[in-house]
Amino acid sequence: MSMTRSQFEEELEKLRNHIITMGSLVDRAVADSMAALAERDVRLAESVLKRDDEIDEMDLRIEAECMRLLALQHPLARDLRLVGTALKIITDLERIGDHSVDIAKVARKLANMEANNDLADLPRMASAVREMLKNALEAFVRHDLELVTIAVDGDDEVDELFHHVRDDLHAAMRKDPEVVVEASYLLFVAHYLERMADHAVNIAERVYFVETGQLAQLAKSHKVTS
Amino acid sequence: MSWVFVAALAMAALWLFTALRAARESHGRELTLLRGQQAVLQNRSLHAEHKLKALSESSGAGIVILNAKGLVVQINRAAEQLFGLEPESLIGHSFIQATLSNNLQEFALAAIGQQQPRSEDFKLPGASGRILRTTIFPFAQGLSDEPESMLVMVDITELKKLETMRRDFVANVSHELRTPLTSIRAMAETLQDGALHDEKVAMGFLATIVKEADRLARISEDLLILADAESKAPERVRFDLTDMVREVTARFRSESAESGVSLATELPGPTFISASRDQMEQVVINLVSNAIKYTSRGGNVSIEVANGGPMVSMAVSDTGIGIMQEDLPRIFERFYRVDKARSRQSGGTGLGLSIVKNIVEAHGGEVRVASEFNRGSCFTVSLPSGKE
Repeated sequence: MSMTRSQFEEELEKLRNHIITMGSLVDRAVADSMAALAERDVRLAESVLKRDDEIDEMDLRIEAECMRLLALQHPLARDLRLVGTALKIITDLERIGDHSVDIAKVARKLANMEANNDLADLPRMASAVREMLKNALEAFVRHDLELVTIAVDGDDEVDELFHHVRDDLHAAMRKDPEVVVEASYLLFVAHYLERMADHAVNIAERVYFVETGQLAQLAKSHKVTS
Repeated sequence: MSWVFVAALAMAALWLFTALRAARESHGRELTLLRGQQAVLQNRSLHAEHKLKALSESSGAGIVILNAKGLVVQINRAAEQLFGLEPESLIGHSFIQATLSNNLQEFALAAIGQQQPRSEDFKLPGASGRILRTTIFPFAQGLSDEPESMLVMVDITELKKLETMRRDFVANVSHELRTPLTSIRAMAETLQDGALHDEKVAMGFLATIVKEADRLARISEDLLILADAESKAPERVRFDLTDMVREVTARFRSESAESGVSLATELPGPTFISASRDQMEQVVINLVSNAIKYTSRGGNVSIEVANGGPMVSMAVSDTGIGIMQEDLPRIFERFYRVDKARSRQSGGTGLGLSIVKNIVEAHGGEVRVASEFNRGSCFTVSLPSGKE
């Protein structure tokens, strides 16, 4: 079934909106999983786990939407890049959602333990990750290359915070063996957040591809590969 | 007979013609009237639209009109600024493209077609954690004859922050007041239970009661000073800061001698500033007393005033215990103590530096701190010079 150009434009607009909706659900999952960890809130952690199904469903729905557009409309040039990018972005968003679930599981575990509740710089790390994600998604809807750069640059801050958190947790473990179990769980959280930042960079790089037609590794090397 | 018929026909035609002309004229008049009324209505509607636009543009709140699909029909400048949008770039697009918030979008869509306005606070994605108080007014029939809704958004992030600060402040004040009160009550009860008859014990308890009562008095006094510094504009007079610092330092000579801390000054000639003398005296007292309090026997405290240029500076430095880097950003917060036990023991209220910061900033100046743990600290106050 073929569509007119304006119908096709409308479909692409819908696709954009669905990606933003998925991004918003993922952002909330990150925020809530960290709040569950900070407050030792089992119910909030459980709700993150439950809401992950919604994110997974959106992932499948958007993928089907992209496939339908590819099959029926044979998009070209920028439109093709947009649909291809949508497929990549939802995978990155879905992974960020999965890491939020991982953090929620840690929160659930620590809530049942005697823990000292010191999260080191993890909340700052999570804030920086959410800012990167927001900037990458905003760059996507606004076709804004400046926001792409800001999102990618955020990765340096997250990496730096990751090293601080890791060193602080190692120091805490050396000082007091009692905290080893809790600190090792928190090390996992730091790792999940660091991976989330990498996915946010992927999204930003994909936006760069839609807007410029160039596939680039923007983080660190800023190298254009093709 | 036939001419009679023709005459009757002519008469009838004439009557019909006259009637038709009259009807046409009357219709024309009605038409003109209607056209006039239409023009008036159009003018009124245009006027109302202009008024609505002016109202919406002059409003500090972000205003957006959405259609039943959640697409933006109208948006005012404040809303565009709220989301950093180019003028009119969001018209025809989904509102979620500005907010990136699925919750806000669902709230807006759910309200369309409803009767009652609704209000809710939404935290936007990202690190800033911006909070928008959003009220939605649904219209059964909008400009396009379809249901629409108007969203009015106000950024209440700062308000929420202030609310949290106020709540924390009240909690801190009650905690700070309760601690000495609990102590006074416990001592009094012990005296009631018989300790009164043991003179030695009783005297010790009474001394503690007096000490705790003094602490309560100091806290309430500091709270009043802080409230004054925050709410009233300083009553400025022109006076010599050097002279005042010399005078205040002299009052600390015996205290520093008792603590075994040397107190030195490096003061230039007359240095005039235009400020509240009482408040500036409070600043010097708080900084010098802190410096002496946190410096061990054998250490040094020095006060230096420097003038020249548009600003006057006063630095109070010590070779005391210093402040850890992680504590530095918080030392000006009310009731924040780096070392809680030591601060209370030495009679601190936890408000001294907060008072200094508030007074100095109310005078258009600033306070900076440089410190190294176990090496000492230096607090520098800069104030606009009162040169004439």
